[in-house]
Amino acid sequence: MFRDVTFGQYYPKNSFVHNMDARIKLVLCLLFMVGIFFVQSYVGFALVTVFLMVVILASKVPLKSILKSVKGIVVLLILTAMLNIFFTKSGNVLVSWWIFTITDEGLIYASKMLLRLVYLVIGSSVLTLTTTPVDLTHAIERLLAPLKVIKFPVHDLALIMSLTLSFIPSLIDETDRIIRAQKARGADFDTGNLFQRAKAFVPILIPLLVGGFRRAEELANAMNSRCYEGATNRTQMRVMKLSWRDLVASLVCIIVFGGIIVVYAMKATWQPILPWMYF
Amino acid sequence: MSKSPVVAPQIDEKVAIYANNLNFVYNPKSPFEKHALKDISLSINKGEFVAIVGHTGSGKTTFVQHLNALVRHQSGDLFVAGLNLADKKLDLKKLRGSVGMVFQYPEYQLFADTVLEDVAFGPRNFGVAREDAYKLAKNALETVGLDFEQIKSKSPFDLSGGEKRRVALAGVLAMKPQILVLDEPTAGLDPQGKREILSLVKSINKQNDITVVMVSHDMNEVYENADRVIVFRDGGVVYDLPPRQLFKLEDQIVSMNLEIPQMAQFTNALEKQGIVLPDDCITVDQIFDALCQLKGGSNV
Amino acid sequence: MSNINNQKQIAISVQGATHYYKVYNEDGTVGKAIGIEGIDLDIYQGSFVALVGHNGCGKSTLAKHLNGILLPAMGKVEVFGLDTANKANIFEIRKQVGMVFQNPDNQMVASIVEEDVAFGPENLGIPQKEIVERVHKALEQVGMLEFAKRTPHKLSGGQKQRIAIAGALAIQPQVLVLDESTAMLDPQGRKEVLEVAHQLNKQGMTVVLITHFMEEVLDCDHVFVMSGGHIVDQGTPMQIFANSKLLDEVGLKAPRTVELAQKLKNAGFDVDDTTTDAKILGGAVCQNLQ
Repeated sequence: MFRDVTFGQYYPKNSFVHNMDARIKLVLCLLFMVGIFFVQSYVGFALVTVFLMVVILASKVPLKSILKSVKGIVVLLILTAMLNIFFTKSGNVLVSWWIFTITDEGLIYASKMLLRLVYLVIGSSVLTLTTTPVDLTHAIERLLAPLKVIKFPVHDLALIMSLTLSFIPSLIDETDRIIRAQKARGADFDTGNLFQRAKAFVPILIPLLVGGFRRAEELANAMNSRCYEGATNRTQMRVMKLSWRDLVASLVCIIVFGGIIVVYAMKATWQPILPWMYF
Repeated sequence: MSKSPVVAPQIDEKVAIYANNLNFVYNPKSPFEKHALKDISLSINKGEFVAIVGHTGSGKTTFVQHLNALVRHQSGDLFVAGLNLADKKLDLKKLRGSVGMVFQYPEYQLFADTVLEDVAFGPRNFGVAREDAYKLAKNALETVGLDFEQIKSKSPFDLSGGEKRRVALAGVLAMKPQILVLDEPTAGLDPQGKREILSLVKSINKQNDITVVMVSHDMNEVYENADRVIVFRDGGVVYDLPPRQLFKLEDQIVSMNLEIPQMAQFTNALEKQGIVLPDDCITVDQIFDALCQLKGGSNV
Repeated sequence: MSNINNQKQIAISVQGATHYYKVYNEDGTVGKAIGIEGIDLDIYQGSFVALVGHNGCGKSTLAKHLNGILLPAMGKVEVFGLDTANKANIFEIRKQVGMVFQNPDNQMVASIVEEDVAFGPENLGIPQKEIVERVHKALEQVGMLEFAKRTPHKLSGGQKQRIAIAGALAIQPQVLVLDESTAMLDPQGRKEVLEVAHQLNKQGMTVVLITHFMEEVLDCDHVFVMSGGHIVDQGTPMQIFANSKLLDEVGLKAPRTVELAQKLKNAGFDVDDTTTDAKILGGAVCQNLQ
């Protein structure tokens, strides 16, 4: 009924992108997400499109699986497009009806925003499709490691994420079991007004909570028995090693998105000299 | 979809559960497609005590959850407590009121402030007035052998493991089901607790004439309690026999990675030597008595 | 089965250990209930010991004293001479006594098998290379090596418990405590876990099995029977089974075959009342009748 959380959206393949270090993927993905909002010109969009296509090809994940994630935010996309279309008043008016006006600038602006959002989702889904949540957790832990200096509980945070990942599947199973059991006793979760429906969930929530405490106690005992004493002096089995792939990918990304940001920054001052940037 | 008539002609008054060519597929037409039930045909009479055995993934759980429509019927015939499960306008409440389902570790579903409220939850859901629901709860708690006055206002979470399970069982019995389905009712209990719950289920079956369908991994338990054992394997029914007959098929049972009850091994060993005990010799005591008679006849 | 007479060294010694649980009465006062009371026992190195009793008899409470998860209110528990009441000893004690609990789902700290097994050695600060070796060896010992990269969630109960055992083995303890680790498993899973436990015992591991399945204690060296927080009987499995009156009183029961053998012997049949194999008993009975 539910897919395994441990692997999340993960699409198992042996590819350039899959084999990259999760830390690098995470950082580059963030760079991409920021960079994309600096893209203004058609040239810029073309460049990002080519870049994404190369990444998708290199990931060997079918386009269909990637586009699935775009489907999830269709409502958000439509909403954003409408807002941008109707609230941009500058430019030549194309249509005007009641309080709504549509201008050419509004249309261009909306389509650019739409494209950015779609690319944003595609970029992040490439990350989650090629990286298991477990690897992501490790990546976050390592990347946040410097924050230990300011006493930020990086290790505890990572442990919580890891425990959550390992507990979600059995929690889902248990919820499912309790729902079935209460349904078998005639519980009804689908009819009645809002208040009645909320009340109908009490017979599910209470057993879940009670079960949660029971679990927590056993887990604590199990962790203590395995010599857990907090973050001090811990080592880690997992080695994260950078390879030539990470170097190549980093260089490409830095050139592309570094370039985009630099161009954006220069535009203000160099506008008259570089007119092609508008397109 | 099935075009079977509302009442199948084969079904007479005595039948509690009737399945004919029942099929079920999880996640049809997807990479995760799984044919969980394949042409299941079986019939269980009212008042019978039937055990269902088989490995995890054999389809027994899927089948059992069909019985009160927790898993919705896909194809084939299925009649339970006089209702046609293939009927699109199936009265779910009526079905679930007739088929009591006791899940594994049922005490994990207790939730109310008091034992009384928890046990009355089922009847209340079926629209029984509060006072009447309390009466049903009182009856059910007494049936499972608990002292009503002493336990009714306790929190279910303060009870011992064995008591919790009884309360959970009472919560299902309070709905006055005609059919009781139990998924491993003795899991996690100690020997004493197991014996108590089993004798309770047995007496509910015999005295209240409730049909019992029990899923179990414990073959000794199955051997000593069931009238009939249905063996599931890979989504199909492979055997449907009284326990004494079933466990004579030692090689077949072992090849399915199921255990042979100790007392079945014993009587089988005797039979190989030509000593046949009567069919009702199942428990240690019954076998012991029969052997003493045999010995007495021959030598003392 | 190892011979306890060859290795008389005591691994764990429990001396008059007593533990009470807080009980909140209905009138709001706080009372106490006996968890265990005045427990004396020695567990010898290399032995395979069982603690049996009905639910709530205190066997699990006692188990949790063996590695200092619970501390005795009175009396003491020593693990290789180290007192569990001394906080400075706890880390060393837990390195010596591995423990596996009842519900396999509640013991997993990671969602990849090998990472879960690595949790213990990581806590000990073992160098990375050695962790990999230990995890490999531990998974090999429980026969789960091929599942190293998998997620435990999809595995059977028996397999999950074997991973939990591997998690304890990776710490390289001298004693393995199975605290009702078979209670939630199906017969197949129970068999798997017991086979691993006996295998480890043959290689020198001291095993303490806490259970209420009497079939499981058949191959143990020594059995302690608990009831009401006390040890009410101890001996070899057959000595325990012979006292069926006591077993009855404490809510336990000898395996059916043993029970039948004993009854037959008492009724004058010429059978071995320590038979645990129903087929052999059947053969013996035939000879009596023919």
